[in-house]
Amino acid sequence: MHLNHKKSSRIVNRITEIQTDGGLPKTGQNMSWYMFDDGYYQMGFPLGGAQRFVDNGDGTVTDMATGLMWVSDPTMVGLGFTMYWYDAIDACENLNFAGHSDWRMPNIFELMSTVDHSRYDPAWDTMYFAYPPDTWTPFWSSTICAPWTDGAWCMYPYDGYKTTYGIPWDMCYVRPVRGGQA
Amino acid sequence: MSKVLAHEEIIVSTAVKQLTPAIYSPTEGAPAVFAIIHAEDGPMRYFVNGQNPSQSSGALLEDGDIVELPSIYHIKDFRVIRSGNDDGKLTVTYED
Repeated sequence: MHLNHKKSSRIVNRITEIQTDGGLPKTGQNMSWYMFDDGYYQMGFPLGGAQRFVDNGDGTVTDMATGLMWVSDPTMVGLGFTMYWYDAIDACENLNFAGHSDWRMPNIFELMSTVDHSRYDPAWDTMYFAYPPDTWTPFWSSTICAPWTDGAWCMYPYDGYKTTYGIPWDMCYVRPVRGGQA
Repeated sequence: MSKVLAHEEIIVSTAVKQLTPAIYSPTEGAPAVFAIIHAEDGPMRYFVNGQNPSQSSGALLEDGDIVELPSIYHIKDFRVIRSGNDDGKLTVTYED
């Protein structure tokens, strides 16, 4: 038996984590093909089969699992074309849309969180996220591919596959995001 | 499953304080074997070996900290004093 002294700073951090909707989102697999597979457990947020995405009616979508707000259709905000990574970053940072000016390019975890593994071509729910101009050109993330710092992680809309593209020479799509925790 | 036996609140000032035997070990019933202490207000210092802490020695106990005392020995030997200019407050919950 040992004394247990929990510092308030650590306790506050833990409470902060719990108070968010934080935790991994569901993958989207809602059919169970084998015992104990993903569809059997359907672990993740939101809990209890609650609605995950909310269409805010202003061209944005809120993810109740991650707390992130997404641009539903990048074409609506003038980003419906492929662009270099730096241009994609700038476009997000300079975006003023739906009353918000704190848009940014998502990191790879955020980008991958939109993938619905029960779907493909595209691998997301098109009720909330618009069909991309083509599904075989990836979407940029802001995450650099260590140790290849000329590369950034991207995601194929077709199946949600994670890949890397070259920052200086490749052109991809981008979907701005806002919110989340630093 | 443990059961809550009692609570107490202690204002910690410039004199060394200990937990109250009449509360954690009443004349009737079993004594507590576990206590959880929530600290509020001014910083304090404590020892759990019966030694008296001072304003500069002892484990620092700050506003929002939580201390779990896992045995009657820790409970009996808990000593605390304030270490700053403001009094501290302890809310103690005893369990069997």
